[in-house]
Formats: sequence, structure tokens, C-alpha cells
Amino acid sequence: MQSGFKDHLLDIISQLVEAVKKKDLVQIKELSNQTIHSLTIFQDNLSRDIAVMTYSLFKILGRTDYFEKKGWDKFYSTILEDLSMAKSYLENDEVDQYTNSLTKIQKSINLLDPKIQDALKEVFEESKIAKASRITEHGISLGQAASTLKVSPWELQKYTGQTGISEKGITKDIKKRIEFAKSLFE
Amino acid sequence: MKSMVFDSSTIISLSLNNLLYLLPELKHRFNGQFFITNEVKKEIIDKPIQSKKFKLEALQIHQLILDNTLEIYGQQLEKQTQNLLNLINNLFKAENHFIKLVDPAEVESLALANLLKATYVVDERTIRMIIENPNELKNLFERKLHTKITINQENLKELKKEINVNIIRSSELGLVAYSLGILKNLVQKDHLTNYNLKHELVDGILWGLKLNGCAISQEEIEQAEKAEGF
Repeated sequence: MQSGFKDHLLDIISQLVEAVKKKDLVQIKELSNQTIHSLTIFQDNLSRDIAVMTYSLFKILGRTDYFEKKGWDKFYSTILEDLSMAKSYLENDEVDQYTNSLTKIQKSINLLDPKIQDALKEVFEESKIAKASRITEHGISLGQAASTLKVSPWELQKYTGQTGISEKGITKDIKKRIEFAKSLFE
Repeated sequence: MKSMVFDSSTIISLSLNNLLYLLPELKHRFNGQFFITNEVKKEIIDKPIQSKKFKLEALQIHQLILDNTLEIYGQQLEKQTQNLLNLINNLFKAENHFIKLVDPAEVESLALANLLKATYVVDERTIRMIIENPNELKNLFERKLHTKITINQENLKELKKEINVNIIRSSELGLVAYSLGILKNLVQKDHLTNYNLKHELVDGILWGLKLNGCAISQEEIEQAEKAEGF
């Protein structure tokens, strides 16, 4: 692993552990934004996993109404434990174990009240789409973003259509494009 | 015979707006062929048909293939696709790393359009920018990443030499359908409304397609409506 890239990921995950301990949503959101940079350029699994996890934690910890639910304390301490483990594994270049630690956080949703489990599982899916949309906004194609984040191009296209992505990227006078299109049907 | 090659993004935009029904009549008026590639077929039919969420849309698209509105191009495009994919995904460098801009399915459609000298119908933004204004795409990356982007000039030169396609989007097809009267059933006046139904129709088509992923800007929509006399 390139040392600069690894240092960047370690920095993110270290700050994430501290931010989750303090339930500092502002910091978690900022870290989520920072993950887009490496995800756009490198589009690797490590960047993807931390990007999705950071955004998911931002969403989950923002649901303060869940803090009183059955299993929350255990779930929360599992998050902290697995994030810390992920950090250690990354420090030691144990990439598979790093990935497993992040996956364990998703699986630990099963510790929670069944009534909220589905909603939280959905958060992870939605986070993947949100992150795919962000890298599309940065200039990556829809198909490539869908492939990197392992989401459906249908879901991604529906989502990005609701954002302002297409406000940037005028490449030709639309009147000329329309004229050309009409000329094909004459 | 003249032809159009459709990217997945265009079919998805039309499908999400219940506008697939325009394609048979448009093809008839076009008097040519409408192609998709095998990879596009996988994305718009084979994969979603196995899910719950877009299964119905996939079945509707499948019908377009059964009735020969859309034809699947049967010949191998691997060599052309790989060549273009290498050129495009080694075009922009950031932090000493080439950025993967596009995926193989998107490039396969472009390769086909190029091979057939067809019109390339693509709603997705990046591949259009690569073909029509790569410098603007570079600038976009730089603004968003706050990082210098280096263009591989050799690849850029090669791409400009290799690719010669005209691009339209589902938005332009929607306007063609409107101007050909294919949508006239939607502008029948009734005693209940005072709307200028034609303007509402054009506005509805363009915004509907935009909000379901066609990369057309608000500014372009306004210009298009003006060009149609609104």
C-alpha cells in the first residue's frame, strides 16, 4: 500500500474513532466529505469501505431516538471496538482483517431492537448510493461510480437526477444539438 | 442504413419517465436501426429483472427487443472497447494515479457508435464531456478535488483521432417526439384548465428526464423551451 494513501486512511479512521466516541456529528460529516477525495481518485475497496462507513455512522448517530432502543449500548460499544480494530489492522497492513472489522459493524445491527434493524440496514445501502453520487459529481461516470460502490445504475441515476450534478457540464449549444437531432428524422 | 446506439443511461431515463413507448414510433420515423450492446442489455434487462425494484421496467424494455425496436448488436467489440477504455482511463492523472473515468459497458456503446458511424444517445455526463470537451472535465475534477490534474496528451490526441460521433440525449429525443406530434394526445385541451399545454408538455418532458438522470442543465432547458417558441 502506498504510504501516503495509507496515512490518509489512517488519519480518517483515527479521527473517526474519536468523533464517534464524542458523538461529534459535525466532525463525522466532515470526515465523510474527506473520504470522497481518495474514493474519486483511487476507487479502491479500502477507500470505498471507509467512505460508506463514515457516512453511515453520521446518519445512524444522528438518530438520537435510537439511543433508548433495546441493544443500543452494546451496538455502540461494538462500533467503537470494531473501528479501533480496523485502525490497528490498517496500521499493520492487514487489509482483509480491516475489511472484516468494518463488515462486523454492519452485522452488529442484529444486536438491536428488530423494529429498527431494517431501517439501519437501509442506511448502509443508501450510504453507498450517496457516495456513488458524490464521485459522479466529481466527474466519474455513472457506470463507473455504480461499479465502484457496487450499487445499481438505476438507483444511482434516479438519485443523481435529484441533485445539481447536471448543472455543470454544458459542452455544446443545445439549440444546435436539437437541430441535429431533428435533422435525423427528416 | 443509418443508426443510433443507446447507452444504458438513456434507456433508464426514458423508462423512469414512462416514455419507452416513444421509441417504436421514433424508430419508424427515423427509418434506421436502434442498437444496444450486450453489456447494456445486461444492465437494463438481465440484472434488474432479477431484482424486485426495477423488474417491471426491465420487462418493458425486454418487449422493445422482442418487437425489434431495439436490436442487440451481435458482433464482437472487445478489441475496440479495450482500446478506447485504455485511452480514456489513462487520460487524467491526479496524485500520480490515473483516474478510472468510465466503465466498460459505457465504452462498448461508444465503440459501437463509432464503428457504425451512428448517433450516440447518452444521458450520462462524463463520457459526453470526454468526447466534446475533455478540458472542461479536467477543470471540473480540479475544482472538486482541489488537486492538479494532468492530461495524458498522447491519449487525448489518439482519442480525438479515433472518436468521431455525434451525441444526443433523451432530452433531444423527447423534443423530437414532441415536434413530430407523437405526444399530441397529451396536449388535448379540456374545459377545466387554462394551461398552455404545449409549454407544460415540453417543460414536463425536459424536467422529468433531468430529474431521472439525464444530464441536462436548467439553463439548457430554458434555452430549449425558448427554441421551441415558449
